[in-house]
Amino acid sequence: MENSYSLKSPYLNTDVQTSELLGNFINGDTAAFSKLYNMHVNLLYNYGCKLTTDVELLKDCIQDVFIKIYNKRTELDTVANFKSYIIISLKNKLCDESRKRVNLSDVAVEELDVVSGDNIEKDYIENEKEMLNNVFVTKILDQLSPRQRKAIVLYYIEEKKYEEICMLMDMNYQSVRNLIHRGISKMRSCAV
Amino acid sequence: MNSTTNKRLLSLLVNDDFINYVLNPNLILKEMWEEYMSTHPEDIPVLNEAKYILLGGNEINKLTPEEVSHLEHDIFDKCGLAPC
Repeated sequence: MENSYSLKSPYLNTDVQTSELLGNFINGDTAAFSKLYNMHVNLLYNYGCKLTTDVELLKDCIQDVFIKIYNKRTELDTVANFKSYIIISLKNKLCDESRKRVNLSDVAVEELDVVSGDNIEKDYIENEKEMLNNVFVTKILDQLSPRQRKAIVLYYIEEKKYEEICMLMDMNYQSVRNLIHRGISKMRSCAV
Repeated sequence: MNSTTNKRLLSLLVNDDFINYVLNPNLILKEMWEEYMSTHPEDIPVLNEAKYILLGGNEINKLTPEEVSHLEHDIFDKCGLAPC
């Protein structure tokens, strides 16, 4: 299927530059930290404006994201993609702040304008995620051998006991356990 | 943009799998979202808009240079760093 926007090409140079800056920052270069901030702050701001109309909250959350990045700089070498890391961090931070506000009894519901506070929105998102998760699980199940898939479907989806699976698949107890264990290990490796 | 489209856009923007598909794709995510697009062609425009926002191609909302500088100053201050 053709997409209107390439996933990488126009942004490749920026991604290379970000990787270099990230490496320098991890090695203690605070000027690299400043450059990373200046390169990404409006990306985060624009993204955050789609999730909340509370600009001050958004700025506070962006600040917290960068403080967290600084404090956890030694762990950043495990980050596969800096942009996705900071965007997901900001989204999680906005959701956390939204949840905190919901728990404050003296805050009027009308004052809560972070989108994740909206129950209808939440339901919609949950339904969407569930549907996508099902697609995701189906994709991963396709990576298994037919017997692994059958055993895992019987155990986790149809909630059969090991003894029933032994009978249905004509296998002994330990073999069924091993089959499921290997299948789960394979699914985990496929999901990473 | 109507409210249903806006909700679809928001649901994509908060979906970790979608964010990673756009910014840090792997084979499984690519296959998953390509399958989603083939089964939901009506969502392709909103998927493209969400992609565009995540890639930073649609920065309609921007901080002023003063705000960027002020926020940076606060971050550096809280991290105990001297301004660059």
